[in-house]
Amino acid sequence: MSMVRAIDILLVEDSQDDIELTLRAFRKNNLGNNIHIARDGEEALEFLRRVEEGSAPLPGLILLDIKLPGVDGIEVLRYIKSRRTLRRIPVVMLTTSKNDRDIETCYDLGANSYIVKPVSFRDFMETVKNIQLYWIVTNQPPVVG
Amino acid sequence: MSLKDLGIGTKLILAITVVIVGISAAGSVVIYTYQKRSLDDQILERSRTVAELLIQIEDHRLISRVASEFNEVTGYTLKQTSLEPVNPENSPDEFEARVMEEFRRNGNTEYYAVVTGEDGRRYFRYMKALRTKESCISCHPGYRVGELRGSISVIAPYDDVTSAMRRNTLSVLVILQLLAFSTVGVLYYLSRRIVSEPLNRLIGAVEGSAREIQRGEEVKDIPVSSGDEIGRLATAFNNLRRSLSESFKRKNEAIESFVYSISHDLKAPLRSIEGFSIALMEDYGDRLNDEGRHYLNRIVSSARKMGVLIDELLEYSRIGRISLQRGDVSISSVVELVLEDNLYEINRKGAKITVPPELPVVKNAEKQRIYQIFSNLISNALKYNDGVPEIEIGYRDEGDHYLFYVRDNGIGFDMKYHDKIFEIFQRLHREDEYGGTGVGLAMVKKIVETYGGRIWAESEPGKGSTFYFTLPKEVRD
Repeated sequence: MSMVRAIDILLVEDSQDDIELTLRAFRKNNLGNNIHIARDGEEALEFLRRVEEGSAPLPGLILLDIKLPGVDGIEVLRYIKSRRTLRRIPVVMLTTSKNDRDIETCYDLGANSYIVKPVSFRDFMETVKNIQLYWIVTNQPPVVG
Repeated sequence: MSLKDLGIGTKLILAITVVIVGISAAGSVVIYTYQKRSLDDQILERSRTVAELLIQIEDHRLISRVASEFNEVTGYTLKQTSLEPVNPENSPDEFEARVMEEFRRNGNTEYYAVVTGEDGRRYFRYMKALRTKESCISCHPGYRVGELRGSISVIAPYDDVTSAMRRNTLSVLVILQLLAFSTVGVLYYLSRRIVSEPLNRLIGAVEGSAREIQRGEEVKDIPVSSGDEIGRLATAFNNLRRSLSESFKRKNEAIESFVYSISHDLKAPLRSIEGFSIALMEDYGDRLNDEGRHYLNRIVSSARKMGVLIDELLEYSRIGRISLQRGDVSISSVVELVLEDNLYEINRKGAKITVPPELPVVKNAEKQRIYQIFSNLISNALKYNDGVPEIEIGYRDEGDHYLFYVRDNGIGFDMKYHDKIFEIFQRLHREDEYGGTGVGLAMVKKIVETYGGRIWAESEPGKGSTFYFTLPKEVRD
């Protein structure tokens, strides 16, 4: 039995298909993380404000689509990085192309990594490993002593 | 070349020349006619005066003296003549005899005409009838009053005076014509300065910008050097070109952002097709037989291929529209990078690649775009080659730009397809022969042209190809 609670993950994604495929990637690999879904930037900001108020759980990881209707991922990212309580949360951007110029902007704003959609579990785990989130995401306590 | 094709200045000058020459010629004719008439009047008047004077004189000896003095002064021949001369000196010549016969018949007192003499020269001849006066009767009782006794005859040389006059008229005509031609000369010079030269400069400038537009280069305004019609024409042309290029640019931008958004929107469902096909394969693959799994694999690979195509289309639409980071780009380092990225293919085919030890630096360029140029050309040279590729990369300094080339010993192509190979999604080969999406060269062409350069190729089937392109030493923003 693990003593470490699985981290909450916020998935900001407007495409139902992409949400389904992402959830499947988690499910297929028996990751029991609690995943909160925001369908656009507005919803993401609302959730984050509730986090700041304490009425929503602090996510341990945010998966943020760059292209969102209305308030886009870059604006959400900018908000996250400007808030004291939120700015330490690792943010992984979701993009449709590795040539996306916005990726550069996101890195400048403090994003930790990016994943090209569709999200396959392999890519996801690769990214998670790269930003050293492996343990907290997979919910396995580090071997102590 | 017909009259219509002459320059405006030349036409104008021709018209002015015709008018001026015409006017001065007509003027000369008028002057000549007028002068001749007044000359005739002058001779007639002089002859008449002296004849009437002689008639008044009664002393015959005095008459002879006056006549001989008059002749000396004027060069005329003034004499008395009679049908029945007492003195043989006074016998009439043929003309005088004929005129006096007429005087006798019709009672006229005067006759004059221009006559050609026996020597072949022309003379103005004047004759005045001498009739018996009252005073004569006392000395010559057999005479009757009014009876024709003889005449005064004046013979004035005509050729000399008329030829002198003709000379005068001719010199006036020559002066007039000289004046006319110098006026034409001045007008010609002025028309060249004011009309032809500015017009020709304008035409040259318009043709120059037409060439620039055709080559896709940046077009500068034609200089407007005056406020006259030519200056206004230049301004109008500049405005026309500017509004045309603006509307063209707007349309182009609209098309590109359309292509961009369409490609982007196409990617979402494609992603789902790929994602769910993979999910299907992963979750239910064991329940399908080999054929079913094969179909699923085909779906996945097709979706991926389409994804690549859309990505390339997106990339193509971004060129020139979205500016990447600019700076000094070392072509040597770009080529090195391209060769590194193609190392697998180079080794697999055992390609031999020649690169000069030093390639130039292009200023204010986007490294990623320069990379795309060389990457596409070099990977094409590797790909379209059935043997051992030999690829040569080189350049030449051509003043304000560099000319680069990538030469290969590959399959080549027929030059009739020259323009086609640079068009997007155009391929000369079946996809299973040589892979590719048909975006590469179109992308290269677009980058080169966005930078104000040109691209072309020389090739022959089976003899390899050489792709040339130019890049400015410093790319404009």
